[in-house]
Amino acid sequence: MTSTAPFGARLDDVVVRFGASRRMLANGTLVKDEAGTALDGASVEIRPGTITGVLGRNGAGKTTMLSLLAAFTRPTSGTVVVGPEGAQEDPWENSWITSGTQLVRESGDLMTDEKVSASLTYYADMRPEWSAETAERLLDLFEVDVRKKPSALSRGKRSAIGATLGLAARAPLTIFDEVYLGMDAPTRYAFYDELLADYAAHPRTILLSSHLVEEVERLFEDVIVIDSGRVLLAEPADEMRARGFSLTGSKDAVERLVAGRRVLHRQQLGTTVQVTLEGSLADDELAAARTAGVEVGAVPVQDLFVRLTDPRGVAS
Amino acid sequence: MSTTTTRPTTAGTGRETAVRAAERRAARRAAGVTIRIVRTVGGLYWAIFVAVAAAIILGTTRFGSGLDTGILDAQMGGPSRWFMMVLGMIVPAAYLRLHLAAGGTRGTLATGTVRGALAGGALLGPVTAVYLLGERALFGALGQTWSRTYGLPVDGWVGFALTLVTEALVVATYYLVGAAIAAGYYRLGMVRGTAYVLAALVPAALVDLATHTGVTALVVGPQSLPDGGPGVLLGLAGGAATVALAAWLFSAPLRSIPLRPPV
Repeated sequence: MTSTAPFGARLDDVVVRFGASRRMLANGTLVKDEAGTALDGASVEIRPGTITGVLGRNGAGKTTMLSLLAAFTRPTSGTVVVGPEGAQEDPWENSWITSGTQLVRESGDLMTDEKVSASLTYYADMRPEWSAETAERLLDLFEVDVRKKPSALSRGKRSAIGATLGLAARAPLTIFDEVYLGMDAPTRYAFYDELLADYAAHPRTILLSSHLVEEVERLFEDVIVIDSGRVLLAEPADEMRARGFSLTGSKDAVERLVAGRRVLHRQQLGTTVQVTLEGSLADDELAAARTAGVEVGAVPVQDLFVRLTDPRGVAS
Repeated sequence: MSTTTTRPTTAGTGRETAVRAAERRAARRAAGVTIRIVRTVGGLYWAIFVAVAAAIILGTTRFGSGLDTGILDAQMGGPSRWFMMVLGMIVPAAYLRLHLAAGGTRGTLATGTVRGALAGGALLGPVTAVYLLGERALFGALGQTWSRTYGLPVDGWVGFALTLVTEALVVATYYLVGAAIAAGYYRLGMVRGTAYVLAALVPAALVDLATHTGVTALVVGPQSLPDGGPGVLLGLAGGAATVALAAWLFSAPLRSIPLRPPV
């Protein structure tokens, strides 16, 4: 178990605007980042000691929100606090918070012109809870050669280093922002297993942002959905799963059951219709559906996430 | 950028102890990186410089009439400052993301970089002083007269010690000037960052004047700078003050650099 209690976090009405800027990529190319609003009044509370999934479409503001928690950036307005329950503080330039927060972005932040081992040494020297044994074991598991420079490794191997950094740091707040990129399926599943095992052995708060929702939703205890810079919902994953259900059957029978409900999605193939509805069925409605030959199913978190953030709105 | 975030006070010596330990670790790591790179690149630079200088001195003596000035003076009183400035531009900026990702703050990166620059100066200052002794000995062995136009006008072992200290201050200042230039661009963008370069170069000019070395001393003319006791005092106090000024010009923009998420 980590010696510091798991960190929670709270955002209150946070707005983050970026001005237009130019920056140099590692290959020397100068790129221009357009001005824009990344977060627009986001408010959310992250429970300490949970695995929370952070879901959102591209550009929804996930990475900006996670960057705020790690003090990579700060809000244009609003409040961000991070820390153990009852002792949360502004993370900006706050060693107490930053030394307990590990943000892993994609492949981790590594020195591209030095051997991987040099960056690992940097992390090991800075992280108070660093587990050298865990790092060594995971690098071995993911078959990463630390004598190479990151630029000489595949994207999947670099992501595996990011995963290793996040787990070995054992930070009270550990944030994985799309670390799966480039990993093949066996490596991803090995990472999920390692994450769960390490979380059980060393309880802490883990935030996991991923587009592979189907793969990772089994890990989530809480879910945050961000859409267009705002927090659409933040609740336990089980509550989210109970937000909807699907009906599959003949068009007439399904339509009778749909009446008056909010339809999140509709698909039709010939005379068979499948609809995803918000809410849940009462026992008598469930019985009526079965009698009418309509199949009632659960809706995966991924489907609910897709429907809830559909820019075209929900089907009526 | 304005922010309304607040920092509630959290009591507890455990927290304060942890903060001090974290800041110590982070600053030590940043200083260690600076020292390692300055030592490596500085070592290579001086090895090449000494070899080239010896070849020039021997060559001009063998095939010509010799030199009427030392190699270091011919390089405007000390060229090692320029590679230090370039290193200062590259190293802290390159390590910023890694340092923050590893749990450090911009403040600890600034503290560690300043300490590293001073330690780098302490490494390279003696190298310059020893080089000058070697150059003088080589001139003497070849039957030529050696004199120094630049540097504080004090001879003997006191002059050696002063060279050691003032070159250390020059090296530290130029490294931090380079770091300030990079931090200015990072924080202020292209246009305002370019304007900031002018401010960032002020300590470089001042340390040149204080130590009677470099381009600024060449432009002003070493003979027009104060000599004797006041010159020595100005060299030491002014050198120390310029390090402090360069450190401030570096850390002020650094402490508010936001890392924009990759697009």
